[in-house]
This record gives sequence, structure tokens and C-alpha cells, in this order.
Amino acid sequence: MKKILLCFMLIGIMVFSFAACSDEAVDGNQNENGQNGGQQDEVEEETNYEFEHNGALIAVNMEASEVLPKLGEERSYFEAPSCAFDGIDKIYSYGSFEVHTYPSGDTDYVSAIILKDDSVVTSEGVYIGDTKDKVLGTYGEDYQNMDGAFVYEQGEGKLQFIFVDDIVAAIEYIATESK
Amino acid sequence: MKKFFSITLTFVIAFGGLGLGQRILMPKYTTGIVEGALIEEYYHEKAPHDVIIIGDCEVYENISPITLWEEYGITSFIRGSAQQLIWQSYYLLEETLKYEKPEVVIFSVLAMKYDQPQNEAYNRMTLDGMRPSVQKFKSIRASMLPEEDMISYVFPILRYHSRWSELNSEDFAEAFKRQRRFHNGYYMRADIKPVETIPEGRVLANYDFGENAYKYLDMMVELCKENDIELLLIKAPSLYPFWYDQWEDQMVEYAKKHDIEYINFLELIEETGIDFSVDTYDAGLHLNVTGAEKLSMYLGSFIKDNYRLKDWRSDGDLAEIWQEKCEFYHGMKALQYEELEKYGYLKSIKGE
Repeated sequence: MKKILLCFMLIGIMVFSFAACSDEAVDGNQNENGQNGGQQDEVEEETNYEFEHNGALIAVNMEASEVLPKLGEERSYFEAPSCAFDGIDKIYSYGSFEVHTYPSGDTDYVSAIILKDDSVVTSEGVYIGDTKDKVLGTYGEDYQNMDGAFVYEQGEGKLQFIFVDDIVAAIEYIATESK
Repeated sequence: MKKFFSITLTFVIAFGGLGLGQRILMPKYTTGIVEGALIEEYYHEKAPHDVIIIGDCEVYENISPITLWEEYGITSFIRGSAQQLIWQSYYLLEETLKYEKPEVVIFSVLAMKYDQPQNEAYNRMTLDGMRPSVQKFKSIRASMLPEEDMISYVFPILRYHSRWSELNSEDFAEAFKRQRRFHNGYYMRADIKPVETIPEGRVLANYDFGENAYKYLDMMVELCKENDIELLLIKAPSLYPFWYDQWEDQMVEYAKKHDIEYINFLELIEETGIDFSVDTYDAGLHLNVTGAEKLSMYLGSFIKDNYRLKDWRSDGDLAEIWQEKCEFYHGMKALQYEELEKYGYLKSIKGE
């Protein structure tokens, strides 16, 4: 009889141990975009690359409500719900560049800034149509080569240059971490 | 003998308790993100299918098996799930072949854009719904991100144990018997949100599909050949995510090289009759029910013409099974239109 009671106690402890530690796992229903927001404590304070337009500074992971009013009215707007998750990714197009946002809780944050033509320039002075050498001269050699694209990581995002025939064809600021 | 009985009883209670706990704790995807319940519904099917459709939301939101049945007598099932990666599609197909042998398999090629595992939450929506099998094990192994563990897929209680504080009545009610929500794998939406603008595709550093993606496509081709199954590759008429010309060229070339049919429905908008001012519920990403029915009309006709499938509508047993499916389908459709009329949105989808 004692053995049976002991076994039941062990089972009880086992079940309780599963139930008690509530901070580790995340409900698949609630994991919006599958992004893990639990790693912010590990983020070192490092400035994100910034893009400037008409005096407004934009960086990834800024609150959209803080950024968008400074940019004026967008030329077009697109909502892109994910296949399954709640929340909507939004794309605000300003002709020469786009601002992409992602939702986290009730707030939208900037997920990407995509430069579309040579009428806009990075804060460090590189624009579409520049040479690979100019990118190297401006941003240095500390990049990752991703399928021929130069990727400079800094803070919570990366600045990516895509080349066609050694000429910059696309410039993208992309968040690598999320709120 | 008494000791043996005690130990056995203890183990039965222990594993039974854990099994019960696991069933209760696993997400049921009853409202909101209902797509997580798609994969599991296949196991309740009572009759085999001539056509199996595999892929991501570009199949389970765009093709109506009920229309294929009603218009052409084609029996079909969509084994689709959100952001289903190509290795997941492959192993789902391999698993499906344990249960039945279809005449035709249709695969949505948008998945070719992903060459590596992407996202745990999406993985879960495909893998957790699969029954234990070698295929499930292989699919998990191919899908896991570095930070994931195989053990938490084999014993999902390890992943979901913290849900105990969020459990609701549906977690208990659906622990053993799941409510049917889909129509042979089709996720119905009757609402309309017309296309206004579609963003241009971003410049990519590399437009080539990855080696891993091609590896599984090759395996799929081989698997179909071994089983004497016709493989049909499709690109759904979804306007976003952007489908690049370079991707199209690769698919056309691949299909030609392997003597497989490939249909890009983006090039057949006029022929299918899809009108993006009324046939989409999210501005061009997915079709709504009227769009899915139009696409299915065209697809059904193509299948009939090219694969000479039997029209099963005169088969008494099958007709009875499908009659019930059709009633469920048209009932849900009518309910959704009623909700749209009354509330202006789909109340049942939001779980209100």
C-alpha cells in the first residue's frame, strides 16, 4: 500500500512540475508571427542604422505611429496578413522608398525600410546606382556576404546592399529582432 | 503478483494521466488561427480520394474540393497547412500514401521559395496535427530550427505545459473529439476585400530556388513515379507574395525536364474568371469562396480532360458521404453570408 502511495506521490510531483513552470513555453495560438519577444534583455544597446527623409529619422523597430506622421501621406498602402497568424504586416509606399511594419501587441513597429530608386540616399551617402567600392569605402569590410549581397548588422537590424553587376540595385534596412 | 499489478497500475495511471494532460494542453485552434487544425482533419476521412492536394495557404484557401465533387465527381482532399514547407509537403504525401493511393497529386510551388526551416509556430501547425509515424519523425527532423528539440514534438506536453493557466472549456471539450471546421482541407471565407494595390517584388540577391527545395521536389517526383501517380504543379492565382519571373522560368523548365504538367494560374486570371474586386477576402493574397469555386471549376475541367478520372457521383456509397460534406459546406457558406449581412464581418471566424 505504501508503495502505491509513493508511486502516486511521484506521479503527482511529475505532473505538478510540468504545470508549474509557466514561463518557458509559449502557446502556439499566441505566438504572433512566431517571433520571440522574450530575448530583449539580451539585446545590447547599439544604435540601429537610420534612414533620413525630409528631416525625419527612421530606424527599424521604431513605433510606426512615431514615424509615419513625419513622412506625410503615403502614395499607396498595402496590408499583408500572414498565412495564419493574427495581425497584419503593412507596407507604406512613398514612391522612392517603402516602410514596412509588423504588429506586436497593439503597436505596429517598423520592420523594414526599402529604398526603391536613386532619389533617396542612406544617411552615410550611398544610393542605388553606386558602385560596390563605394559601399565598401563607406561601410567597411565588416559585412556578411549573403548570396552576393553585403549585409551590415548593427543594433536590432541590418543594412543590406544587393548588387547587379557590382552596382547597387537595392538597399534595405531590415529588423533582425522584434519587439 | 500483487506487486506486478501495482506497478502496472501505476504505469497505466501515470501515462494515462500524462496523455490526458497532453490532449488537454495542446492548442485546439478553435477560433482565430483555425489553420492549426487543418492537418488533423484528414484522419477522419471515410473514403479514399482520387486527388490529393498538398501545399500552403495557396491551396487550402484557393481550391474547393466540394466544387470539384459537385461539378465533376472528383474526390479530393487538401493536405494543406500554413506556410507548409516543401519537405513537410513531401512527408505528408508519403504519409498519405500509407492510407490511400490517389491518381493525381497537386503541389503548390510557392513553397519552393523556402530552402531552410523558418518558424517554430508554423512548424507546429503542420507537425503537431500529424499522427505518430516515421514520416512525422522525418518531417520534424527536417523542419526543426536549431533552438528546437525533437522531444517536444514527440511529447508536445513538454512544449505546451504552460498553457494550464489559459485553458478554456474548448480545450476540454475538444481534447478527444475535434469539431469539423474545414471542407476536405478547404478553409472557407465568404467575405470580400478587393485588391487595390499590390507591392512590387523586392530585388533579391539570388533568384535561384535552393538545393534543399529542389531535393524534395525531386523526391516528390520520384515518389509519384514509383506509385504511378500523376503530379501536377501549380502556382495559385494569389497576387502576393510576389511571384518572380525568374521563379516562373525555373518551374517551367523543371516541369519540362521532368515531363510534368505545370499551371501558373496567375497567367489564367481571365480564363478562370477570377475577379479580384469580389473574389478575394484579403486584397489578393487568398481567394474567398466565390474565387475558390471559380478556380476549382477550371482546375476540375483540366483534371478531367488530362487525367480521365472517374466521375464518382453515381456511386451510392460515395455519393452519400459527399452529400453530407456538401450540406456542411453549403450550410457554412449560408451562415457566413448571413453573418456578413447582419454584422458586416464573419463573427464565427473571430470566435465571437
